[in-house]
Amino acid sequence: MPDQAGVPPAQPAPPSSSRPLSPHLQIWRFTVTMAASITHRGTGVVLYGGSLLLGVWAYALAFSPSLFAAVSGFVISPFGIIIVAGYVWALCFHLLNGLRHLYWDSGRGLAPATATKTAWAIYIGSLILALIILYVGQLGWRS
Amino acid sequence: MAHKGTSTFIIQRATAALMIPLGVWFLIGVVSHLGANYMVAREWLSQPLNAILLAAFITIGALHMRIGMAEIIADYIHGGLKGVLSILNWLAALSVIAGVLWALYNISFAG
Repeated sequence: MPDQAGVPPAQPAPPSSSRPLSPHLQIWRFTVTMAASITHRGTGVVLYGGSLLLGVWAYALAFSPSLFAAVSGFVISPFGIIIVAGYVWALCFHLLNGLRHLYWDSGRGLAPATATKTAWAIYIGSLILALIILYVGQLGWRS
Repeated sequence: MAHKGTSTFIIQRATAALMIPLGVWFLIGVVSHLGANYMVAREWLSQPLNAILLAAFITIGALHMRIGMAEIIADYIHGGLKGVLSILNWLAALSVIAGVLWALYNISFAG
């Protein structure tokens, strides 16, 4: 259409509420490998926080029986159990997916089909491992 | 911080490999004592092997987590805030190491 060269086509401006977001959130199809990558980072941040809490726990155990009693009371409260369970799963996921990363570093397991299978395996395996550890750990609390 | 990329890469993998057995031990040992009473937990951690393993777990883990957080900072933060957060990141890692080692020393020798 030479006669329209240089003339922008008339298009209604989209309402601001429907303007597209940055493409990377929209055009990428959800994949489990992408989710595992994000989860690896997320669990890493969770474990960072857990290390700081471990410092509080160790400090209390060494220097403050009253603070330790408060920490223990929180840990066995319903909210505390959720936090501990989340931390345990985060460590299980980060540990298993870390093994996956080390395997990748050897140059193997990088084919998309393989990476997809191992990503699923790590989500399922980390849940199973966390449940086993929490079950065993709960027995420990009672002793 | 130039010319440190390769050594940081290697340290992150080496600490990751060490954290695998330590992480398994930690999950079973420490998590099972989180709700334990004071004397039971102290007695458990005053055993030399458990104290050494927890010292290794927190020291190697803190070095590993510092590098991981530094990667996240490098990916998302630019400008002056990056330097501030990098220093805070170092401080958090070193504080956790120092605090836990000092606590373990007191549990083992000053109890």
